[in-house]
Amino acid sequence: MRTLYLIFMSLSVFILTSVLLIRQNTAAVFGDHADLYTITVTLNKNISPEEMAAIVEKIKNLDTQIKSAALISPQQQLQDVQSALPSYSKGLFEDEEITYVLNPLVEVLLTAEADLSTLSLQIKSLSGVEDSSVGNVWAEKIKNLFKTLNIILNTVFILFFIILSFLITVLVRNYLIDAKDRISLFALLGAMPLQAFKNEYLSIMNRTLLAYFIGLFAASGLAYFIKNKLTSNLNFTFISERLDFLTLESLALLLSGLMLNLALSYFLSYQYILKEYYHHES
Amino acid sequence: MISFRHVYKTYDTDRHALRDISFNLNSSEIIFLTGASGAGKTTLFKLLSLQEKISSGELSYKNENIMSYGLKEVANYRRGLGIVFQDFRLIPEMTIFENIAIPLKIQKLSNKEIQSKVVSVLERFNLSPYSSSYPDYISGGEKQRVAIARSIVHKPNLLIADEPTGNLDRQNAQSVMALFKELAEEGVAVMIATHDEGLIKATVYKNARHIHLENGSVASESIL
Ligand SMILES: Nc1ncnc2c1ncn2[C@@H]1O[C@H](COP(=O)(O)OP(=O)(O)OP(=O)(O)O)[C@@H](O)[C@H]1O
Ligand SMILES: [Mg+2]
Repeated sequence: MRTLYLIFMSLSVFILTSVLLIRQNTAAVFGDHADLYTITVTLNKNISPEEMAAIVEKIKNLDTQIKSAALISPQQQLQDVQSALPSYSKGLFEDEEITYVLNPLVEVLLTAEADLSTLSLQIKSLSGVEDSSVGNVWAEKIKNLFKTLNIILNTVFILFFIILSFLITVLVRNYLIDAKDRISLFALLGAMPLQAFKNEYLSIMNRTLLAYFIGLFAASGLAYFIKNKLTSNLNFTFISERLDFLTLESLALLLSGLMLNLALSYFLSYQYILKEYYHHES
Repeated sequence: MISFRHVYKTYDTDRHALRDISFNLNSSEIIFLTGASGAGKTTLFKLLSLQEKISSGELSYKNENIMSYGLKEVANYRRGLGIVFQDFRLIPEMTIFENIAIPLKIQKLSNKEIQSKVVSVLERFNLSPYSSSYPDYISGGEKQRVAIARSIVHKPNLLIADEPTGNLDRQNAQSVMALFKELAEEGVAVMIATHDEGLIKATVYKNARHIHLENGSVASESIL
């Protein structure tokens, strides 16, 4: 019976850990640091460098969701193209004149939270701006998917944390009822509450720790396996490069969950025993 | 030491398990408590050990209302108590030695002290051969002696024994009574619930009284 509790508790921890892994890795691939969410701004050709700098500043201060805005001058665009071309065709663009045809651009990088199309329109209305377009059309879709996924993951996390806490509560009850004779005798012979249920509490603590250990180990093992599979498949190396095991943040979150669970089981045991065997409610 | 003042006890039902109980128990006194089955003897002991709350009246220990005790005081008070339970309450997973050692463990005595105290009561109750046996594998009379041994191993100042000789032959019953008298002479307040009138008649002690309960009330109280 207790093995069954352990299995379900471990399973809950497994799910909690997996959720954290998925959340943190989708954030790495599609989140703030993904550099997927860009707006490309085309400036008027005839404006001065000072005006360009002023516009870049304006864009930067437009919204907190804007991470950066960088000016790309025509000269730089030319260089970029040249460096991308094979050496024999360099001569094609040697002519400085060509830069007069090109517009200066501003590349704006946004967080995953940003509303791309609204911001793009806002930027377009600034003076000196000729055009503004959302970088990757599919980025918007991915972003929404990513947001929905995050909501689902958070919900699943909370749900399974509640399930885990509930399992622990039932386990505590189970232990205390099983040891009722011994605990009540100890209480009657003058033991303080903790003295009376120390053994049970240690068992509950062991089970909880073991469940966390198994769940964490299994989920990390699975993540490692998946990363290996992706790495060996060349098509997915760009994803696998970004995959990470539990970050310190996620570990801290799991650890506080564990602390919370241990505190909960201690509190429940203590209250139950006070009420049952000391007729003392505090 | 102990004083009951107009104590009533009602369980969930509307019938009183105890009704208007008043008496004192002082150190070096022995009180025999008798009464038909269901008269309220065990209930009275449960009030004394704070297993049950009194419904009304006052119960005091050394002039302190024990119902107002905080957690620490409850534990402390219980440590000074020796209880022989009607149903023994031995822990089946523990050996006879470990069972008897429980009060000493709770009071955090050193292993050496525990060893010497437990061995001495084991000898006193002729239980030495069973030291490492388990409760399920000894006789009813032996269990009862273990229960009594556990109740006195920590030298309580108040001893409450619920039917302590019910499973004992005459000889063992008399030696238990002799021990209780000895404890009383040393200053312990002793209260014994029993159905055994013979035991009461055979007891010769300077400070012994007999309280008879009927339907939860004191029907008679006499000095022996
Ligand atoms: N936990 C309880 N809940 C409800 N009623 C109870 C409870 N314990 C005892 N009673 C009732 O209280 C009354 C007194 O019971 P108690 O156990 O004190 O009797 P007793 O004198 O010890 O009897 P016996 O000689 O059979 O041990 C009985 O009528 C019993 O049914
Ligand atoms: Mg009884």
